[in-house]
Amino acid sequence: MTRWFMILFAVLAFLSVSAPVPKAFAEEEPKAPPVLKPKKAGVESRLENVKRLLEVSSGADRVKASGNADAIAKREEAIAAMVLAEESFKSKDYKESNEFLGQATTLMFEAVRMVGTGNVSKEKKLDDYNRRAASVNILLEALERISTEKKSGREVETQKDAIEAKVALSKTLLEEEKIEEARRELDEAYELVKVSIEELRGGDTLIRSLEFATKEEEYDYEIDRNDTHRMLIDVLLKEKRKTESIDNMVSKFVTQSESLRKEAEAQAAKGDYETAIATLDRSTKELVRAIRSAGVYIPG
Amino acid sequence: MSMKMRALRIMLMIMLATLYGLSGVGDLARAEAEDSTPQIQRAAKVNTFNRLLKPPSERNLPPAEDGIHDPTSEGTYLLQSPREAFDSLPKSNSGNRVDWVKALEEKYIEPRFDRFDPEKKPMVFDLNIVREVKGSMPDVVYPHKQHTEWLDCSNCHPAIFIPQKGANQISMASILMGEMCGVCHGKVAFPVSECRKCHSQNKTAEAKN
Repeated sequence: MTRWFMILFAVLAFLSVSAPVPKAFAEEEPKAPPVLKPKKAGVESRLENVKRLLEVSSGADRVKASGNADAIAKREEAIAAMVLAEESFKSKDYKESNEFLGQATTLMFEAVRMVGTGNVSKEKKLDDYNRRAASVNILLEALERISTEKKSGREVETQKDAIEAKVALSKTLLEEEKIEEARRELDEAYELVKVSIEELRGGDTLIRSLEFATKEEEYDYEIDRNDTHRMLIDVLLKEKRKTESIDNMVSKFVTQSESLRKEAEAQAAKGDYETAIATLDRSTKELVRAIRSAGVYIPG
Repeated sequence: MSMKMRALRIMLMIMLATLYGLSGVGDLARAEAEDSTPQIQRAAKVNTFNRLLKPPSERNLPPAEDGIHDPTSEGTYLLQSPREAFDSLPKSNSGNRVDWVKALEEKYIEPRFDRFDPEKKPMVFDLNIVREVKGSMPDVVYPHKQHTEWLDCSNCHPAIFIPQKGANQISMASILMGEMCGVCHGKVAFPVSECRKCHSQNKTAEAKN
């Protein structure tokens, strides 16, 4: 046995020396902002994509069918830039090719805009307005709760009044079908409510405790926890289970877990939730073992 | 394999795992120690909605091939291929292999906060919400700070989360189904395989008991 431990010690010493230096101890040089150097493969892929943009995209179809001379001319300019991009690529000047591709894309988008509707529909504006209004309302309610909780003074009340006044004005403007003005007022209310909440809550840590009113409620929580771990096996181990030995190990733990889950369900059906919770916990632990056995560490 | 050799192999695997942080190797070794009578059971149908949990060959495909963007739309071709775009960004070990928080902090990227106003800055909100969970699993810390450096309150409130205590029934199952946190995590933000990024607050000894 002593010989084995000597070998182990030697291996350990070797590995300690050759182990990578942890990042925290490595000297880190300040990084300059990255400069993108176009690579051949990247430019080649972009050439293909821009070609499709110019020839087969729905925008290209719209421009071609529009009869709009300006848009068609703009697309021709884009095609000319594309030709230059192809020439640069052939002469291995990928940077220049990339620049021409950028020009071609910009020109083509100008052409598409010339024939597109270009206007945001009234329904879209109204939909956006309603979404923003929902955010303002829910944040205003939150502000009121926080204000009560923190016993904030008159200053917050004044802020709330100002926000509510803006919301009211916004509604009036909307009724008058002045949707842009209505949105502006609403956005101002939104900014104010965000700032007010940040002033009150900034720097806080809120704890959401885990409390169960009944054992049945706790059982439902454990069922969800068990389901979650079962789903994790599918999500995390798809590739790993292609290796038969890993699949075998995972299957063994999963089978044990399923058996325990059935046991727990039978206990719960008889109203013995306390025992069912303990059994479910064991079932979930088997699933954790299954995941870990495939080489994926999950806490718990 | 003799008992001595088997014990030595397992110990070596655990040592390697400890030295190099390869927890999976350690688990494999422990599992091997526990299990020598395997049974076969086929995997159930795998969830496909967690698109950041793809094998390497399917990761970060060009927009027109990713099954998400419309290949007939001109806008799709304006988008840079992610493999090219992500090349110079800080790396991570999961999802689309980019550490987005680091990329933002170190100014590799400076996302425009308002599409009409290039000067507008986000209102960063420093509020942590700790959600206790059962068992020895560390509690979840939701930091508003990292989220509001890029997102706006209205991105989540109220459509995804009601900003009120007890109003949101969050479960890992719902997240895995692409709801709640799963609206972003697993799709465009780091996936659920990164347990420790959210379950980041260890329980106190008192709470464990």
